[in-house]
Amino acid sequence: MDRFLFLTFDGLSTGAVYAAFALALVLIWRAARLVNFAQGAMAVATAYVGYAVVSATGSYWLGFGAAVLAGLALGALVERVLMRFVGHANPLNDVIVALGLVLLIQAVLGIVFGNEYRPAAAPFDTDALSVGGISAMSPYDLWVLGAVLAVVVLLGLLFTRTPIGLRMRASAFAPEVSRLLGVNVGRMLTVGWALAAAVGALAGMLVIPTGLGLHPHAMDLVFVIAFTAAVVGGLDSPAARWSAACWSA
Amino acid sequence: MLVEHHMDLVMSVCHDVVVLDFGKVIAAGTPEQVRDNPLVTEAYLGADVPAERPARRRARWPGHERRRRHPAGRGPQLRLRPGAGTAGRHAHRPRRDRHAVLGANGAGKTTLLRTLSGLLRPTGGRVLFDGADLRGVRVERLVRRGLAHVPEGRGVVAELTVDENLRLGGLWRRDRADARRAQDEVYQLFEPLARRRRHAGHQLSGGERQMLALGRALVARPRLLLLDEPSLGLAPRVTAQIMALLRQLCDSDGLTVLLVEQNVRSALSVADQGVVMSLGRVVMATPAVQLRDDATLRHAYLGF
Repeated sequence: MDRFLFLTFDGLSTGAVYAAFALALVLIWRAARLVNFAQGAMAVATAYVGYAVVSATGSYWLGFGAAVLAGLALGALVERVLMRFVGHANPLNDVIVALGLVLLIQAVLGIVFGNEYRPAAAPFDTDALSVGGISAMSPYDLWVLGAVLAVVVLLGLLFTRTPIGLRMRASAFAPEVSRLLGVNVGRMLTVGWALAAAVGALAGMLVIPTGLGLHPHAMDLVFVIAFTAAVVGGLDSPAARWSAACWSA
Repeated sequence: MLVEHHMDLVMSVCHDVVVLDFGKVIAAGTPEQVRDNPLVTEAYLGADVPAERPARRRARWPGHERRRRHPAGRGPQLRLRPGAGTAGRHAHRPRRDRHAVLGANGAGKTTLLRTLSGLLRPTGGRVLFDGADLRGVRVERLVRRGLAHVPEGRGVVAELTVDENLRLGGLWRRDRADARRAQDEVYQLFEPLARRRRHAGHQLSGGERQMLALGRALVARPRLLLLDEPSLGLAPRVTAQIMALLRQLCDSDGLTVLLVEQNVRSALSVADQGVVMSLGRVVMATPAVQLRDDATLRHAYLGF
């Protein structure tokens, strides 16, 4: 029983990370109708930026913020200089280009930072707390769960309550009509990529300290699980995705 | 045996012609016999639309007073010159406010509208609006210049609610208060929409979707409205209502309308100028009253 509870709580936070990562995949899927296979590599790249800032300043939170900002910038960059020019007539084109980007990013990270595991510190204790003699969640798990929930709520508000959210949804559902109504659909696509990469960066920062540490391939497995969760949960349904992510954890 | 709706071809190659309309044989015989059958003309050109006078909807579009920026309340002048996306031979210089573009399937009517609003690139010629060339202006900028395009199939975003669709139409505007006001005016104009604010686009009926598409275009307070087949799939009564409303918007607001229609009778019930297209060319441009019984129109649709 104790073990069951422990695994349940532990699964909740791991599942939350997968859900966040799957959410990033779904954001791009809905905006551009393509699966961003480079998302894992992009998240690792931003995590390197984040931990470079951590070691330079000594502050985890500055590094965390830097990683998310780097995600925004990297997402916008990838869309503007690469994905925009890929023909979408054949869906395989997107996949090939994204996989090429994975190789590029991982090679560059290997050259710059080296292909070994680097320690990635967690801001909170990762040992589980005991509640009434049953070990449940660690403070770090609570932070992960809280951060992911906050992101989900904020994105929900962004999409349903703000003009830019309305523009983004309209662009995703009906790009041509949106253009006729004065929406700059190309810009919305860039914003969508930036947001998705930022969410991916956040998921990367949250999951890397629970694994072996920073490595160019640190997110490969996470990507596979999140991708599975996204597909099982349905690329168009946020609620189902969440439960699928928790289940696969 | 040939199944074809292009009458030109049918008439030239067949000895026997059978005409079907909604699953019923309405005429059969030699091409000559079929040609003279009034039911065939009606099936292709549409029946006369009951001239519904908007008794209940007499209330004018509430924003009309503020919108008389154009001299004499008139909308911008519209010219269709040769080469505007289609190989027109006749220049069209209308002086009035409501223009109908008519022609059979595949005549290039939708192509013409899509070229005007920049969705397609013209192969030659110019697109002039208010004296400025619109070629090279990005599609999303056109609405800021006063041009609204309601595309074929209405273009209601099915996943968004009625309210969101309407808000989307005014998002580009800096004058938030007026966008808000325009939206309220649309709700006054189309009561069915006001009752369904929170409903998603896909829950609406065909008539309600057309109202929403039209209302959403009006939120932008356009000076030129491009309408692609507003009567498509609508009951004749609803079509007549929409047409009456269009007439009223032009009269009270100085809105210029370019209406693409396959249903000739309903289009001519609202337009004062008619442009007939056939196989990608403008073949005629005349006042609408002269067009009703003109042989060119009949030829453009029926090929004889």
